[in-house]
Amino acid sequence: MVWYKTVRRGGMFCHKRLLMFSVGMLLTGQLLRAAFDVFPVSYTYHGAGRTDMYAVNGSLLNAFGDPARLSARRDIGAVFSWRRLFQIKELQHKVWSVSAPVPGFGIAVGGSAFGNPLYRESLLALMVGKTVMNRLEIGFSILRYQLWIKNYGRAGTTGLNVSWRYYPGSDWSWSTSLRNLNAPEIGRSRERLPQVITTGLEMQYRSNISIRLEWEQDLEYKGGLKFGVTCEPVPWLGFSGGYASEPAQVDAGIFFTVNKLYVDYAVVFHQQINRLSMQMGMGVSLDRP
Amino acid sequence: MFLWIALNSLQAQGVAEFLTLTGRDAEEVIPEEDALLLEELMRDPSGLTEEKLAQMTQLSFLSANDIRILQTSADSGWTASLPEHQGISDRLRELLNLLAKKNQVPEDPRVRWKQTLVSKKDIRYQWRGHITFPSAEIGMFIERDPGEKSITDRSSGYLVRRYSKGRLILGDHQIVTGYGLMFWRSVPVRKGFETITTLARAGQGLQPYRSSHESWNLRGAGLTYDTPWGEGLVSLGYNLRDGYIDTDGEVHTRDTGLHTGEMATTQKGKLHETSIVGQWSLRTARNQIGLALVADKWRDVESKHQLFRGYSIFGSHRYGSWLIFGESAAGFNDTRGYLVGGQTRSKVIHYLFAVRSYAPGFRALRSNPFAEWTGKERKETGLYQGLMFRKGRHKVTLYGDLYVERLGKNATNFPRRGVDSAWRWEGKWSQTEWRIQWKEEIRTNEGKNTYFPRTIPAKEQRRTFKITVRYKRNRNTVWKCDWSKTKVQTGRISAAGQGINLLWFWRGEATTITLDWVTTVIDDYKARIYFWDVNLPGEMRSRMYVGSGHAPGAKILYRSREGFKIGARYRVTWPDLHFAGDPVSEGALVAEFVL
Repeated sequence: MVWYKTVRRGGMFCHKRLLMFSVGMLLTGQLLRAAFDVFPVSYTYHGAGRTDMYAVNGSLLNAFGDPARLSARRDIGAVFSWRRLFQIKELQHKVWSVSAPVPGFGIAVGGSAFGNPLYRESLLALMVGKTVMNRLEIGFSILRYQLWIKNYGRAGTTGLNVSWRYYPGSDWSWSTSLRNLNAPEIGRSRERLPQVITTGLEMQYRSNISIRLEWEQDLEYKGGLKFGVTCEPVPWLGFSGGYASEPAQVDAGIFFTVNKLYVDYAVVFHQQINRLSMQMGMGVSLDRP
Repeated sequence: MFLWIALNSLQAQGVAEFLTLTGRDAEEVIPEEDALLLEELMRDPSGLTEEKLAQMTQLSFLSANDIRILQTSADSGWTASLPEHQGISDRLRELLNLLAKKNQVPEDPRVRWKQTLVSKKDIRYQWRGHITFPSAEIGMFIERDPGEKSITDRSSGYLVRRYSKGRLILGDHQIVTGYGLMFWRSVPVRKGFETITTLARAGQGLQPYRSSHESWNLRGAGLTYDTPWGEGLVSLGYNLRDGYIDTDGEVHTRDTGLHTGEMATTQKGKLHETSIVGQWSLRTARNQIGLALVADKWRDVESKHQLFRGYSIFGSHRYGSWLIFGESAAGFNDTRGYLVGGQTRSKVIHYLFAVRSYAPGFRALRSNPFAEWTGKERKETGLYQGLMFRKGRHKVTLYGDLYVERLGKNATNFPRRGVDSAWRWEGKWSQTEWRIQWKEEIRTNEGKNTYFPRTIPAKEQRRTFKITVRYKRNRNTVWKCDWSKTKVQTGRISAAGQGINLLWFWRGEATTITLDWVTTVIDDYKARIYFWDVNLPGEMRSRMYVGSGHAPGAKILYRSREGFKIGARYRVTWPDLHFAGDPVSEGALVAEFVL
């Protein structure tokens, strides 16, 4: 804590530097472990222990990593999401996704862009989900990753995500998703994109409370447990809370929908650096409410 | 004998319970294929069927006599009264009673999918899938070991297509024939009390490869075809194996399956193994005879290559109550090995003897015969004898094994020798079962190198004494207590170890709970002790304890009516009797569904 006290003596200016330093540490240790570590997720993700739960309008967002969620879709839908991670302009993340009705399947295409004028990651995805014998949902998504760095050029590769979800009962499910199962590599240095295994149990209580316990591991690093709860007392308003280990965080969030517009806001306490951060996102959803 | 059967009332509730609670010794683990096949059989809701009996012949822990009766019953469709057959072993009877129950899972499940996470420092992930069709089946397996960088570091799969005259396997398969000199599972027949029943049984031929062992499968196509003159078997395989060929042309393989260090990742899949196998076998009610030929070519990335050839002749003959069996094989590099034995059984007595001899360096395509030394160390001549007799509530088993190392022509050492001898008494009452056993292993040390003036003792003597008591409190609750003591004497130096294992098992409507506690006081690694671990579906592990401390463990398993299973096990090990120091945790999670 010596560095913290030293910087603090400098007053407001140093406080800002401290915040940036913390953010830098966070980003280094938590987000930017490798290219394409920032991935499209549902808007309750940051406020519910980094668990990627289904929520209103959420399935088109988190179907990139968990395409089995598309299985039940039978309608046209569209969603556009925008957020700045840690409220930093340079970490802007935009996601869009459109689903089309195909008999027997849930199909969507989508894309995302992350970065700034110097560094940009983008991806395009085709996502397919199908229900098998009522209790099982399976899905896969094929993603085209593009990486661009100013004055260096661009590189691309293709990844495959697979997921499944089994419903032992009507109100709970067990799910697993495998991201980049085909071990894609990008660039001349053949940097391997993150291979992430996520598995968890999700419970629905009285149709408006969701609880999820999840294990996630990026194979390059130690895995961690996550726990998240969302509660939607009315259809246009919801609250969330959660805990994640590795790196440890406790968080809480609120999300609401106004017509086709939705907004989410989360406060995250990062235990390792003893600091709070805020996450905010918004989007437009042409999906069913 | 009837009394013995009638008192065998502690009905097991699952695979792990079946094997751990029915008296199998923790030092005699079973192959993973057996545990998986048992799980598969138990999931099948249709009770005892001909197909199920035919599959059971692949279980390695059943005796040759059990296999013969199972085959006869499967062929004749005589299944319902098989559990009452007087000729079968207690273990098979208990298994048949277990499988005869109609399960609550959906009728005729076609798809099974299982995911396992095993945690110890890092996580081992496994996914195993199986789809059944009326005359075909598909299986797949994916594994990522701790520290490995790819989800699909190990991937395996097979398609089995059954025809009226045989079957075809595309993908990963294995051949288990004869008595293990040429083809066997990745685990050999172990030396112990179970050997009396398992050594005399021949392999059951071509099988899909289910094991997680990463370098034992044959990848390609295998075909069997029945003719009036016997069964033909052909296998064509192409495998990528870990290892290299040195400048002398010797093939070095890495069989751990772990791809974490620099050397392991560098050597991963660098050896190309191409194999062709042809086999003919003829089976009648009293006789079996077979001939297998194999050619195996190895090539590395620098195009260094080696070609090996081998053949094996195996057979058995039933004469009255005697079964005479044997196999003779010419392994790679013209090394020879043979195993010959005889087995007789009556209602009271069961006796087996087997003579084995393997030349130095004896190995073949997938050889894994009964032996003291395995792998490159396999070079011995030995005689095993076992005797089992029972009277009323009591069963006594004795065995002895004498062996001597076979040395090469230019050897300067004296050959190592050894003798194992053991006895076991088992008694069964209405709620209680007792087992007391004693084993002594003596090995000479002539083969070990030493430098003057140090000398090494002439022999090492290891004695193990175990007492097990199992108490069934009611139809849902079982208590079990194991006490084990080991003493090792090497010259003037001695080491001792003892441990106690308490187990409580409870089964409810949908949930099974096991609590387990192990406490050990052990001086040295040599005086190590084995106890069964708490095992989840598909696992069948025992744990080795090498120091003093406590190790409580627990398991909980939930089964839904729809066939969904989810379970977890957890164990904490304190390396100190006073709970000092940092405990080491390990655990596992399994989830499985059927459709």
